[in-house]
Amino acid sequence: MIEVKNIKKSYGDRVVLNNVNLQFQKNNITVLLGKSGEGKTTLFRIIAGIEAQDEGQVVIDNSKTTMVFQDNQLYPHLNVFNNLVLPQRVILKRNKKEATIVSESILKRLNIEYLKYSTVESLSGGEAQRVAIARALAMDKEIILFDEPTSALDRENTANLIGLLKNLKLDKTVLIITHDEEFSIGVADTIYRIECGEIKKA
Amino acid sequence: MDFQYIVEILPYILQGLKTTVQVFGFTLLLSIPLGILIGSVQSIKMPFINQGLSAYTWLFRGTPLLLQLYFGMYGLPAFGFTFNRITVAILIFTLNYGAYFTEIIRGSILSISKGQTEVSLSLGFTKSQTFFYVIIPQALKRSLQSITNEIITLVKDTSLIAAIALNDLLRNAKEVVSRDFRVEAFFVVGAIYLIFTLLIVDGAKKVEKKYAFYR
Repeated sequence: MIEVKNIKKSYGDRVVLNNVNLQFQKNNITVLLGKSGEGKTTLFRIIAGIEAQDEGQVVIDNSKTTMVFQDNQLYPHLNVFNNLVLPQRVILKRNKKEATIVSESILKRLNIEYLKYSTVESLSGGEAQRVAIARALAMDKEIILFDEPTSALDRENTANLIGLLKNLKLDKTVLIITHDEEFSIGVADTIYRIECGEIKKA
Repeated sequence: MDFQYIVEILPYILQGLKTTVQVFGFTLLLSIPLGILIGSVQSIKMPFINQGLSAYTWLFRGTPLLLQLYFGMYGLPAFGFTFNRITVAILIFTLNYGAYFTEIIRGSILSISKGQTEVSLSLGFTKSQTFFYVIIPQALKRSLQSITNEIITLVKDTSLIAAIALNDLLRNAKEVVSRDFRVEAFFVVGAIYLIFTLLIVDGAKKVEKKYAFYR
């Protein structure tokens, strides 16, 4: 079980998160559902360790989480393969051979081997997202956070993503924030609603 | 055109080219790393250091290069620093072009989206790793065209060193013109400058191709 306890966060006078408590299970898909401007993204950034909370506690190690961004943020100066390889080599100190083996097996798992030498610029929205997921998976983290993963996807790609996420939960813990109700119902094991900086279990 | 005359004056003009290339080469070699270094430091928020570095770029971009050369040649000795002419030329040109490169690099670094840093941190890069592996490569790529422009300007600016009595390409040509009362020498140096810049444009294209973002 992974826990977020009594998180508070304000920007100046504006309280964004007010005493947020959240639990999510390992090898489960937990969805945080809410409209934009309700503090979802802030909460996420705190869990991912990009931002610091004012009060409260995240009972997971930041080093065990990584985040897939809404706009993917692939590295445009590298091709798909090197987007996967660079972080492994620099952060995990994997040698070239190890990084290659890991990258290739992940590309295969996500059915995007054919994109190996593609440029980031040439990817479609759905492809870019898969590459971003592949890059996150290559880092061997326990928990993967997804920020609005359906925002750039059509119906078909959304259905594919749901399949992919359900496959991921076999060995990862997945936390998603979204405003997409239909997608939430399709993918989640647990759904929380976030409103005005507070969490309600749906 | 009297080709025999051109062949006659060419060796003296080419002697000037040697000085021009020397100042150009050393300036390039020193000012680009200087610009990358200072531009990088400036993109990190550090109040006092940033103010000092802003003063540097303001000083060197805000006064004529010619004035800076005069200061280096005739002003510095007043403070007890004496260098030979070519060293002064290279020093002043490096500081001057370093200031322009600083602004170019700083601007490019700041133009890279914040998301690139955030995603890198979330993957586990440290801040400095993010800077070296993610930000700087992209910033350099974005700077390439502006840097090429500056390099072309540098080729032509080297003619200013004649003002501190260095015999560069243009000065030698002018001496030939004054001596012989014939203008062919000007055409010759014009052609040499054009070939020089053509080589740079060509080289820049190759570099751009090699470091193309999307390959």
